[in-house]
Amino acid sequence: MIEVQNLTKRYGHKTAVDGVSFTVAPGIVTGFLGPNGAGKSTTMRMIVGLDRPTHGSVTVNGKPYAAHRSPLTEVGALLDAKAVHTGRSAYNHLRAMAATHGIPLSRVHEVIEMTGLQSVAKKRVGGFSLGMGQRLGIAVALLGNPRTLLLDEPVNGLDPEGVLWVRQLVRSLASEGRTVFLSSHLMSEMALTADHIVVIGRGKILADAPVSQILAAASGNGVRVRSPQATLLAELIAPTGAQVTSSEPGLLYVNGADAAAIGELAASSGVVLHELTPIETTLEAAYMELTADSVEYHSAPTGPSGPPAISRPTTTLTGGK
Amino acid sequence: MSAATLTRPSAGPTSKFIVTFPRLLRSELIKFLTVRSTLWSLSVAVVLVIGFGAIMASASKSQDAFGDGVSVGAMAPIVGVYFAQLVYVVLGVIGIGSEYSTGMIRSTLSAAPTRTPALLAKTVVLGIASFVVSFVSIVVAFFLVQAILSSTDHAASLGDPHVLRMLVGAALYLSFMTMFSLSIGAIVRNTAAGISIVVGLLLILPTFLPIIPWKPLKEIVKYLPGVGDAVMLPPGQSTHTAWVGFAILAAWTVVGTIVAAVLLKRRDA
Repeated sequence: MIEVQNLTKRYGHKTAVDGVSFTVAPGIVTGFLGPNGAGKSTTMRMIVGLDRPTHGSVTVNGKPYAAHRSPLTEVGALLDAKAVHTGRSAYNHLRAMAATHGIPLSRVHEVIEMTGLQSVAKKRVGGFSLGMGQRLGIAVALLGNPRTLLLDEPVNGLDPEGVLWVRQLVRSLASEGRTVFLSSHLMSEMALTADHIVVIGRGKILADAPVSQILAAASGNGVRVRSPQATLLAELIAPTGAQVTSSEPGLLYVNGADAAAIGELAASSGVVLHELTPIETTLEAAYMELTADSVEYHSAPTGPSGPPAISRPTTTLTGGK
Repeated sequence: MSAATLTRPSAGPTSKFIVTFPRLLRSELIKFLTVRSTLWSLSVAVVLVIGFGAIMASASKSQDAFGDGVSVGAMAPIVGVYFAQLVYVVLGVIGIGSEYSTGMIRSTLSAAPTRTPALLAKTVVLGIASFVVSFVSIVVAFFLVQAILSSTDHAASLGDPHVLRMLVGAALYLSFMTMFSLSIGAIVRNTAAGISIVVGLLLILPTFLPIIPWKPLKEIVKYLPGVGDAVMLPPGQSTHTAWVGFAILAAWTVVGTIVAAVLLKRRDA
């Protein structure tokens, strides 16, 4: 369990994290999303005491990280896979980390095997590829068999087998009752891995809700309807409170009513339907909507613009666990 | 990669895996011994001490090189220390500087979030390692020098006045110089800056400050860390007595370490 309360971090004039509060619960995978520069890494660094908050507090399992007598068994963190001496071998790095807590050598061998580093363990870390370095970082995080896992971009640089492995590992760790908090920019992976999402933008929390709720509240959900009596159908739907838009004759896009309800309504009024398709939004689209105003570093558009215009929610989402 | 799951005891913390100072010492020792450049540097330092001792002894066979009352046999082993100290300074600064330059410091401070014990553990390991290596090299140099001088009347023996103090003092000097350099490296968090500062205090200031004819500067020179070399010199060869000079170096080291610890605790990693 990670509890963040009113956490603030200022660097001079710049506020990187602004009064952020949320709780990361055990037993589920919580995803941490946000644009570049939103404050994700800063927040995670404050959780493990690497950065000092300007205001506010963060506790892990009831105590600040530094107050735990066995920090690596409380939190296994992968914040920066490059936080290793390049002249040292992976094996010796793990030995040195394990030694601080008296963790036995057998555990070092265990995590090397789990992360598939056997063939490169005795080689200098300086020569590692991105993926191997990432696996070493995961090995270090797992060294203490921790109750909480804090992973910043864990699949960065991993091949598809590695990506799948991390997803399965993370889900199985959560199912054992551990707390898993991971950040990623890979929306498709996050949608498959996470149960709960926290979205941060410009240092503030934009959303803190189960994945299903975030998807449901996004505007991309709806039903596409084609009918020769589209206008009539639109008038029939309007009283139900659902929003109906139309971009061409005969095509309706309905937001707020499900396909079954529309089908029944059409049938009871004798309206002919040529198409009735539920459209589900993706986590990527929902995330883009939420963070549209909070992106720090905009890329210049290339070619015709991508997704169609989507409406932005006017209220911030917060949901139950 | 395997998909092996970890089984965890459902109740009770893994409390036997707590961070203790002896465990931090062990971790720092592993770090010290598992980087090639450390072992190379120490080898160079050993060669410098023994090599310059031999050179001085061979060159001084027929003359009283150090002036009246200072036996060549006693001084020659110490000469190499003045060269080797630069290696120990670099070793001390790099000991913490490389953690900052590679980002390793974040791993170190994740394992030891109270921070100060990690710095102290590193200081102790470097201090003891540099003492042991330098003492062995100086003793070897001593016996080599006496062997070279055996045909002359310049040879010394361990029982001669001050000799034992000079040899132990030289190892203490190098050991504290290493620990002092570590503290400077920890304060500036940068290898190049750390080495520049220590070399400046050790070599440049004592050489150039006396040129300026201003009395306060001449006083300052007497209290720079390098005056610790009094502990490895015969009496009368330095502005301070042996243990007073050493106390000044020790004070620089202690103050440096305290400042480093305070800054480490307060700053972001």
